[in-house]
Amino acid sequence: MTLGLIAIAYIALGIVFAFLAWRRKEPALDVLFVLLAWPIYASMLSPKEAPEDVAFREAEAVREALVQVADAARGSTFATLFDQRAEDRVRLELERTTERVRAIDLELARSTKTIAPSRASTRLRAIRDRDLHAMRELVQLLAALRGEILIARHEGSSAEGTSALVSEVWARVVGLGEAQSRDGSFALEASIEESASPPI
Amino acid sequence: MSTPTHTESTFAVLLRDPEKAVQACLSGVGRRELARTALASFFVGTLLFGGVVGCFRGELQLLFAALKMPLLLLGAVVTTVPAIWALGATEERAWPMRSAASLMLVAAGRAALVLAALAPLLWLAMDLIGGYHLSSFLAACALGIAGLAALSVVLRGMRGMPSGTLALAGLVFGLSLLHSGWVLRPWLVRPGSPEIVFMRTERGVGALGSLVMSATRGAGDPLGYESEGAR
Repeated sequence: MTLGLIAIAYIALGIVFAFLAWRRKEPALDVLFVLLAWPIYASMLSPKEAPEDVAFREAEAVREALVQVADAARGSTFATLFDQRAEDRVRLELERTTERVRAIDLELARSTKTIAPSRASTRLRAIRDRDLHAMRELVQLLAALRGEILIARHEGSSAEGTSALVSEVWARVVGLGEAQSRDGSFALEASIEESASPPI
Repeated sequence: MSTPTHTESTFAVLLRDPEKAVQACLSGVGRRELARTALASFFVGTLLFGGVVGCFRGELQLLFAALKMPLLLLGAVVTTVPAIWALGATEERAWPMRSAASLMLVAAGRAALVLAALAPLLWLAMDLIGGYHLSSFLAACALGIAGLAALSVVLRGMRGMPSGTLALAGLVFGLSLLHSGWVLRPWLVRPGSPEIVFMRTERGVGALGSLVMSATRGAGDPLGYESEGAR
């Protein structure tokens, strides 16, 4: 096969992919990019969502919210609310939770080979959903805390109004850590139970 | 008083915040917009750099080199994406193909921006110093610097994977870049070469042999005066 033939095949496939993108009413620039670089760009337009790293995305949202709180508090008396040690603690708990959700996702993906969901996989899913829910709640709390800090800064008031929110944020962070140690043994148990039970 | 955070444009993220760009590739949030910006930057940067490389000979070579430079890097990226995806998939983590593709696109986009930034310097150096070997050496150095910018993105994206996986991914990219560069030659066109062609078709000593020969010749004649008339 010559280089000329390869080039013709590349362009022909590019035209096909670009036509499909055009039919799906994608923006003109995307259609052009699919035509020119379809081997790497076509997957960006794929309508079917591949299983994503949900835990990473949720943890990323928490980290982003944490940065915004730190930005809002920087250079004021509120800066002590979240010092470096506190930030490190939150990040550590997030990493642990992310890893746990990933491990559960992996386990659940394996267990889909069985026809009916077992009791263990149902419980694993419940742990996963609770972790994700806790991270989403943490994002909302941090956003509320940032708002309170900005209001307090502009009004010149003290940090007292924000203390309740900070306590709540800490309770969630500690809750993530406690859930980790409490459910760690169960997750392992459930995994063993799952692998020990014969496929239906 | 701190300033509230504002939403950065995707171009600013691509240019200034590789960590955030990598996170977008892996998490999927804003990935498509970032990939679009990276590909646009890639085409603009490589066309510009190719044009500057082609300026060494001028005439039609300016157009040829400007067209071939995006092809060179696109070929290497297209070959590397499946390899990186396959290597990453051996690890137990979520690693869809589009994450690998967008990561390589962002890396290539950043490299192209570095090339665009270095293009005026290369142009100036070729104009002031001239010489075939020195110009080709400087162009290779610019590509190397741009490659480092791209590598930093890929390494961030594949953080946590074993070093052997990263080394293999780098090897695939390096070899495909070398091969694409060899297939698509000439780039500068030797001063004494009588004609300008889009691609050479004759068989030679191969990419590695040519590199050794060029380095040996270049060491004795960095300005390339003795290359006059040579092909």
